[in-house]
Amino acid sequence: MMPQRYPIAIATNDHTGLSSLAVSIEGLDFQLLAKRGLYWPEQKTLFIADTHFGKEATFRSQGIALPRGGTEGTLATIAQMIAECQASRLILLGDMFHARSSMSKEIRESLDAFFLAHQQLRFTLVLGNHDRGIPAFTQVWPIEILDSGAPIGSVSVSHLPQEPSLSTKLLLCGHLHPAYRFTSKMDSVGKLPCFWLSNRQFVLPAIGEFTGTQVIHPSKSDQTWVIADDQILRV
Amino acid sequence: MAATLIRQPFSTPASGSKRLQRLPNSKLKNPTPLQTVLNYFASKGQKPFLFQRHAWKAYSEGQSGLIHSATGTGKTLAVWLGPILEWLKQNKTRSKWNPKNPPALRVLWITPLRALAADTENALRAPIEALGLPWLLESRTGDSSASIKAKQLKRLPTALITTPESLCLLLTHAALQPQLSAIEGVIVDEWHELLGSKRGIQVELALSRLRKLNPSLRTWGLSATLGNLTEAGNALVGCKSTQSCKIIEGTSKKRLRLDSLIPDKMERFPWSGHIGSRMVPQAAKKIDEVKSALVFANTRSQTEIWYQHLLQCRPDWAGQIAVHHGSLDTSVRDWVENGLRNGKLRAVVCTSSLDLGVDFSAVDLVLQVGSPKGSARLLQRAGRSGHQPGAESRLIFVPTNALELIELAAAKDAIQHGKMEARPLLNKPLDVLVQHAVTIAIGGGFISEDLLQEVRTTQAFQALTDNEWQWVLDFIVRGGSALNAYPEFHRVQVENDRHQVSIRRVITLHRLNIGTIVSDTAMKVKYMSGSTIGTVEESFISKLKQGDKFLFAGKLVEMVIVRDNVAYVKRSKGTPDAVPRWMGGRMPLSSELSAALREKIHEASDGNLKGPEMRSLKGLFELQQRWSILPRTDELLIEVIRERSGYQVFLFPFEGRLVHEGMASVLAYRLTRQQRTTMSMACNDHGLVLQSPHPIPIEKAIAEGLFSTERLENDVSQSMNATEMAKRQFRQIARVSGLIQAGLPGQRKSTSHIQASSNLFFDAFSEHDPANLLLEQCRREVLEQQLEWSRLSRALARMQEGKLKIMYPPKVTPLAFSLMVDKLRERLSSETLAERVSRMQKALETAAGEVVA
Repeated sequence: MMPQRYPIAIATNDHTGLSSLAVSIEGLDFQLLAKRGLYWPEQKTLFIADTHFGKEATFRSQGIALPRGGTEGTLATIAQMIAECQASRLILLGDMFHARSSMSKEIRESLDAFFLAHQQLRFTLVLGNHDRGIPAFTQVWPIEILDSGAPIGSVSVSHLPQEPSLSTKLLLCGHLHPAYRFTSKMDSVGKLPCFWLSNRQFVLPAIGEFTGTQVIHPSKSDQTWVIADDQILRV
Repeated sequence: MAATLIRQPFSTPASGSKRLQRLPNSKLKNPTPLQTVLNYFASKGQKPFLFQRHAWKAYSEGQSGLIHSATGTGKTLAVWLGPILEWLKQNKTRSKWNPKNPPALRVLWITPLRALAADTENALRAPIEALGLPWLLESRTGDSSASIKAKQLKRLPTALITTPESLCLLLTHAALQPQLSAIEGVIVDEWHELLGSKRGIQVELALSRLRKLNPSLRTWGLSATLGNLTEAGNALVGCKSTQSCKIIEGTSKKRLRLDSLIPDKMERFPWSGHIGSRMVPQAAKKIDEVKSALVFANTRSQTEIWYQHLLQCRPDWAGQIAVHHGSLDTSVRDWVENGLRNGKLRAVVCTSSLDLGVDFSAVDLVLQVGSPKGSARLLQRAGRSGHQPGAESRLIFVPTNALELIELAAAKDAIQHGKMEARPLLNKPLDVLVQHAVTIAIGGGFISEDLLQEVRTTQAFQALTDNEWQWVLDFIVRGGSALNAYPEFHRVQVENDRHQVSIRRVITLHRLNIGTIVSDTAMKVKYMSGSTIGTVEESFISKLKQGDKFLFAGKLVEMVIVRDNVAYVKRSKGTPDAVPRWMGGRMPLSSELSAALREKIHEASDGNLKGPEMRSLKGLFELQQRWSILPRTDELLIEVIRERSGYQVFLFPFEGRLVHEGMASVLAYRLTRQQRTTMSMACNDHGLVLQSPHPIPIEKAIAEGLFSTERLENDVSQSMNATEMAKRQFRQIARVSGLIQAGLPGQRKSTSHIQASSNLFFDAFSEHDPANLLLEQCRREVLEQQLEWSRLSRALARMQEGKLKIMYPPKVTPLAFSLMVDKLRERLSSETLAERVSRMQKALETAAGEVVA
């Protein structure tokens, strides 16, 4: 028999999270997914950020032993979300690849397999700082490139957080790998990746398996949703 | 105020005097080497101690050895003059000595602290100059200038003072091998500091390499007295060495005086607490009586608080007292150390940062605030005072609560009976071996079988299996042993059976990251003007808001802004909002001192109160015996108290905090499996408490095997958050095995794309290469180092055999009190992460609601 759970935990079922959460922001309805994606039903579009594909290959090429599997894992997570949401379009908010040395043979093969399996999917990338200097990958796979600040319906997208133009309701972006540090007097669960809405800028968590995080300090008017394992919770 | 005098054995300076009388004076034209050295002593008005002559003789016979003493005078000359005598024997004709052409490298002096290198250099230079030797003596540490280092790479000096890290760096230069092969003797200073740590293993491996280059290498160590000197000696000379390690006890005529500050009003002295601010006026009085004092506190935050209290007590001491701890900037520490050296500072409040090295001859008193935790540590600290010839070492213990007085009494007993702590050794940490193998691969390459034989001569790796060695080779050559998991991995190449490194950036990266020291994620603290005051943990800074005031380096500062990983502050007035808490400082009571403590309580139960400390606690002991008992050494005291809020069970194994933490979790886990309940627990060095809203059937549970050592490992990992602990432990392993870079963030832009946290590696290995032996090593280190596993199982075995004394005291007893008031209680929980977060949120909301209400 396992130790009994705390009464206080039972009493707060209304707080306990779900694997996806419907939110309404600036009058728009989104689904926040604990797999670290944001789905917009109106546009049938799934947004993700900072995949950093091939990061492990870059490490290996520099003599640091990081096993393969991260890129495959990230791709599998993305495929699951696409299937669950029935998304027809995927927008990646930058940092698709980690570095020039990330385009190793096995990484290319993994991506080949992904694109082969998703031939109906419209794959869009907003170039991020890590994507620069990586030669011609947009010609290898069917990837549509968007400029920073480009509009998608009534929102705009970019890699870096920036002031959204007045013509759009919201800016979706990545880059920060936001995480929220959760502590109380009694307990600490460390850093949890999060969605962070601040001044109409909506920062997505990094989806890449081998990516780190950066702790954010939201102000009172901000909204934050943390990801605790496979659940999503409003802070 | 009470005093005890402990005399240590010493040899009179007259030993060997018969021979001295026959000595010809220095005017003789061709004195023998020994006479030359004796003349040097005579010129200082001294005669060598017997142990020094033993050491010289052993060195000249080609032996290796370890010289130990509690407080050290004369240890340096005992090891340093051996090599000098040897050279004098080989170079008798003075006219041929040419300082412009100094002899090639022959002695290596390894010091654990690079800050010590300068002082060591001065101490070693004195006899060289006095004897007019043509030797070149230089240091090579992380602080040495690039031009000196470059010059040394061409030709090393006759004697080189270096750190373990710099020594390993030398091994990466293949061109130095002929010079390194000529080393005749290596001397390792403060070996007790290195022993039992990964830095110590690093030294063991480097020594095995030097011994391979020169099989007749002599290795000498200097150490404080330890409980396991033979092991310490074997680790130093290697286990397959043809020669054994000669253990020489250094003698010192230094007397030692240990006293305690007994509170003026004992009946009002608290039963718990760890700051001891009530004792400040009494301590200040003691400081006032001497010229210069060191005040040791157990944690960095405690030093900051005590410094402030002392200043409040004696405002006229502003500028005459200072703080010293490991988080302060080197410039600040240097300033304090210089002030101590030239006697300008009246007192310095410090942590273990001043345990080592530098002799401050002006210091004539040491105060120890709070539990000494170990008798060897107490002795070492006492030895920091009274460096003047003929002076005695004086230490005054300042208790922060009443029960600590028993600990001091126990420590005195242990010192008197020579029961020093053993330094437990590490067993084959593969991360260090990985680093060493890459070092050797860079420094000329190796054949697998040869290097295996070589590393098996070290004590740490004598039991290295063929499989483990193969794994290490796989890790550095292919990334890991899992097939296909590490495509296109490049670190070490194998050509014609030879393991070597040819990729330039791998070499550079390895050299930048040699070492085993892990710095916490620290943030620099700077004034707005740009001068650095020190570093503090990021987690502390992240909790501060702009304008928050905190104590740092003895000053009240105010947070201005955090930019580029630097916290900018300015001087402030008023009262602090926070004192930085640094990690660490959780050192448990040593097992030797714990045993002595149980003896003292046993004595007290017989009404046998020896010494002023024990006598001062008479009232407390009587109260404890009225409400409960004082446990004898063969008894286990359990106190059960029922309150409105629930049931509390106090257990007093007296085994030190870490053991109690592991024990509390295991016991709570086992109890909650017998009965549906929630348990919270708290621990200190003396015991632990389990609390539950339901009655705890402790007697029945013990009868049914609550203390059983069966399935202990399983129950420990089930009951504690083993993964979180492992992740913390993995930081060092990732650092040492070269997975994460040691450099400060932003310092090396070129490597920023291969920066990753150790958590990432831990997760990646756990998921994609679970057979990685570094994970297994991590699990072992958590058990041994974080949980003191062996001590825990021994303690449980002892408790199982002990006589149970289950008492139901009417009130919380003096022994139980500090456990009772401990607010930091851990809970045993089976909640999911999301549930935990929700619960914490709820708690925070409730707290916020109360504030509003």
